[in-house]
Amino acid sequence: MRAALDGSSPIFQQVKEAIEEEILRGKLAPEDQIPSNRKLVALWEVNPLTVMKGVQLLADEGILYKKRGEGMFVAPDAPERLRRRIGGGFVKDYVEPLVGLADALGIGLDGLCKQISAVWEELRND
Amino acid sequence: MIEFKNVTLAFKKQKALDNVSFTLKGGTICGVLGRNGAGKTSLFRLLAAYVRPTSGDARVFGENPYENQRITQKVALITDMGDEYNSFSVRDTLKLAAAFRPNWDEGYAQRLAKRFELPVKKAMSSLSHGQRASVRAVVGLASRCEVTIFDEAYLGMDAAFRKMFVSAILDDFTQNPRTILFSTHFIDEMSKLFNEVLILDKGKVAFQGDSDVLRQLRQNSSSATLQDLFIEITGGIDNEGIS
Repeated sequence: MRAALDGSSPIFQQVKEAIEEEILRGKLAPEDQIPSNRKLVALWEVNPLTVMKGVQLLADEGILYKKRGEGMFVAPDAPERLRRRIGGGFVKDYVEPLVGLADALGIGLDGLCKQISAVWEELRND
Repeated sequence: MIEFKNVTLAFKKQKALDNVSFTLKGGTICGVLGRNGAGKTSLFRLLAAYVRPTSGDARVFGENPYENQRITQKVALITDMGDEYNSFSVRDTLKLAAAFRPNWDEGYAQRLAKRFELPVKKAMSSLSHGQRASVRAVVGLASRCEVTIFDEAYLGMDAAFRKMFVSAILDDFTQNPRTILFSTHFIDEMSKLFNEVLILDKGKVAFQGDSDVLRQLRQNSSSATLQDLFIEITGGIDNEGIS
């Protein structure tokens, strides 16, 4: 789990994203129980009602589900749903601004591809 | 749960609170923010029934708290001062608090006393500023009052104790939900503690709402930090006449 929240965007949003990230990375697998409210509060030192708000949003989206008296669990299809949702915005949110910026900076398509390859290799070798 | 209607608190002609109206539903940790002299402490003193309004209606749990023991025993006001001349030992200070607070948790008080490394045999007057602040923090937490107010209560604590204090509030609030009001000038350091914010400016309410709303406001403004946004909301710093 992300060790710290940076405090710039709304905290419930950061709580939600931190849990999504855990699911996408496979650190929280389908049918895993997510850490208790108390543990998350202690980890991030944030208000428990704010943590609950972020968790509730994920429950509303069907990413998490509640087992009465036990806690919150990762839905069986959660990774797939997240990939579809985040992937849907990938081109618009990430690729378009990147290409736009590269173009403005005069980095050609070849140059951009080379830089992406270099970063790709670097991150995979870490 | 806390309801103010047109409340004014005046000292001679000076209005500490000027026709203030707001409602807090409770069950939250509410940050009460404001510049020096904005009226935070006056608001708290009304809630804790140290004073009564000059005019208007201040209610806690639907009742006027002034000279009303049903309400006053449910409200704890922890400030950053006092006990400099208190010759009671730390242990007796805790015992005294226990006697007045119906929800006092003795086991919790002792665990906190250990964690905050309180010298229980020493007289309050002989402690450092920070140690006295820790004693008051322990009293405030272990009282488990339905309404607990920390008015700059951590002043004097070093960074490590301050962090411990915040963690203790969060952990205890998670297990024992109640209403906590918390005033601070360290807005960015403390903001994660709140889920609700009340900003006072010159005796009036300048903002009330979800603290995440404040964060969204900051994102859409030119302010780099919440502290900057806060200064913007409360009219900026008056530099005229300084130079």
